[in-house]
Amino acid sequence: MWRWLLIIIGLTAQCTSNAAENPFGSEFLLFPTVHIEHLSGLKADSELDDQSIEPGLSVFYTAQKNKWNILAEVFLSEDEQEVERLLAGWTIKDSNVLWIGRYHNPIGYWNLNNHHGAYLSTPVSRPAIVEFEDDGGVIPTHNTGFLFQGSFLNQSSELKYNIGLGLAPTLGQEGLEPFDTFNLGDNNHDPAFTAHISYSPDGLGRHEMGGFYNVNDINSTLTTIDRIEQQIMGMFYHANLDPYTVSVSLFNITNKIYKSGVSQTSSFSNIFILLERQLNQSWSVYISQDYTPNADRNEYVALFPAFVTARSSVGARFDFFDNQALTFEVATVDVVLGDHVHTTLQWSAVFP
Amino acid sequence: MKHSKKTSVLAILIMLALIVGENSFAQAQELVLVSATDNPVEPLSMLEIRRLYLGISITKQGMKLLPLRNYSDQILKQMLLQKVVFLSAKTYERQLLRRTFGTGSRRPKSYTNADELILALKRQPGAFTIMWRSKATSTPGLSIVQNLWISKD
Repeated sequence: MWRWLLIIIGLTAQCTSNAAENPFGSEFLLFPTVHIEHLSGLKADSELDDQSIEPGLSVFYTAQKNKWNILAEVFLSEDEQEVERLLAGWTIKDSNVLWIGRYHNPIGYWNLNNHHGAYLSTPVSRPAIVEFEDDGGVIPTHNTGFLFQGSFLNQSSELKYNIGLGLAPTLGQEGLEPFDTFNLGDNNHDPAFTAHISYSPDGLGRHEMGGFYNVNDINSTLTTIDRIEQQIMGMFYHANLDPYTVSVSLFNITNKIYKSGVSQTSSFSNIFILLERQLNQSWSVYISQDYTPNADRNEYVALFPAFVTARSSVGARFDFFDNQALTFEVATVDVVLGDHVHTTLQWSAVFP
Repeated sequence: MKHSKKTSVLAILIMLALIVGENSFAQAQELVLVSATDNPVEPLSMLEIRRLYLGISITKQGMKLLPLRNYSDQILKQMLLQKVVFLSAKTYERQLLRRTFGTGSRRPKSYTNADELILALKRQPGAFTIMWRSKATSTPGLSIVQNLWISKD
């Protein structure tokens, strides 16, 4: 762990010292985080660690030259070193870009706007429904293929769209396994399609509402399941009404599970509500509720023991030095691996 | 008596200095949008300017517009926040970062050095920034695109 912490500090310092203007139309950003976590109320036989310190670093780079774009995001931690996004794009006009590569699956609000950039989101916890695949997530948060992303502006509003056509993950012992960008010979992945549309009536994103639809053909390497046809749909609303921020998302997931040629269909829903209040330039407080009713009775959810079926959180964030924040969060968490109270102190930042 | 005369002269001088100072301050309270004379930018709506400073890409008459943030003094920084983007500094920076992180778009570049800013304006077609009128008119090679805000004083 300390090795990673030193790497994070070193890279952060290097980036800060190179903060001068870059003439090549590029952005290089570092999003370091350190989580100090304590879990209380665990049963004696729980597999979860009752305390941990987890440093992490999201390295983000984007560059534009004429109509060409590249974008890369790598996440580094003690347990994980992963290329989150790796994209090459062609600008058609203004913000309308056709990308190819590995992208964030455009579902909901959170997965597009925050993802690994912990500093960007006020709460510490992600909504459970868009938890990362390698943290026990139940739906694909990354796909590889084509992403058509952009917006239409009119006099006062903005209509944003994301259309993804790529490869769905497979289902294995470790849960969902996205296509490995560095193993192009992996031919066990079937298609995935996602459409995401959002509307901002003021054209500035103060209010944003939208819907999304995603279908995934998920091959399975488990002996008990042949494959899964997954359909995800939902809607969200996000409002930044200084000093309040409100975010609501609804997901409905239907899975048709094939076993020995016989299929069985089941569905479940998730709701996530977040209310933030900025007290002053430094302090914000928030409360959130994440709930997946009847998850314990769903055959598909049962495949993901780390999935959080309910979480109630309260927290406070203190911003300092223009680019750093300390967040303290307490959450009650319902999860198959062991219900508990999760207390987190998070340091997050962005450099330069 | 002599002392009283001296005091009166001093008082008049101070008043004159205050009046002159106030006038020059009033002149400075005119915020304009400027571009390089050699790379002119057509007038924009306030919504377009705001969108551009929020990182939304806009092309006009085949030219990609490039907003530059004039942070050469703290008041200009506050003027951008209060009169153009209408957001607190914290909310503005996070909105820009979110858009960059989500879409790969670049944030408007910030300049704390006025000379470097003027050089960037002259070098890049489509570039524009906000500036006090007095500075814009006294700087060779700059053109005023439009008025943005005038002090009520």
